[in-house]
Amino acid sequence: MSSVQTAAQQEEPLDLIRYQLDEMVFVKLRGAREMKGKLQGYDSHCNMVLSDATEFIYGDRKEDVKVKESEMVFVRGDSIILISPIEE
Amino acid sequence: MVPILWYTHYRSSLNYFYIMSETKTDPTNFLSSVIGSTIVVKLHNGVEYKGDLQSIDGYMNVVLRSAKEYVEDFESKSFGDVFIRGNNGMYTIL
Repeated sequence: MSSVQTAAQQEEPLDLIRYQLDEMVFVKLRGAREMKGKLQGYDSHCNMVLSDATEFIYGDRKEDVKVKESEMVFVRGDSIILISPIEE
Repeated sequence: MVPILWYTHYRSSLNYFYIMSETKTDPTNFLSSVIGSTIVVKLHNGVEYKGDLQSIDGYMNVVLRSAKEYVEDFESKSFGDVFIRGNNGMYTIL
């Protein structure tokens, strides 16, 4: 019985993302891409919608970085490596 | 009478199952028992993350607190909190 209670109390990793709704997040993606944007929504696959997003695409050398801006973008969950809140 | 007998039997088999699940731990159970300690997570792409384990779920998604990113053994970045999607993980070191 006690094991059931602790399971209910325990925080899941996706709870961290829930706290970041409507906040700026940093997302690292496959294919040497990174994205920063305001988190509008997400699901259990880590599919997410970011607004005012900036995408950084890194080339072979550190200097060549392509920057793309988009007003609203949907990111498919399977390309996500990590998500972190941006501290200001 | 019969339902009561069935009920006690049911209870004891549940207890048995509970004891079994306590003695045999699966990987996620094991990792949830070390919440709070510092771990290193290595991803398929070779990048390592070292931080205090905050939570883990069945997909092996993890949240690390005060995590540092190491690329080829050099510290390259640090995060306050970081969520790592489970499918990227290769192994975890305590």
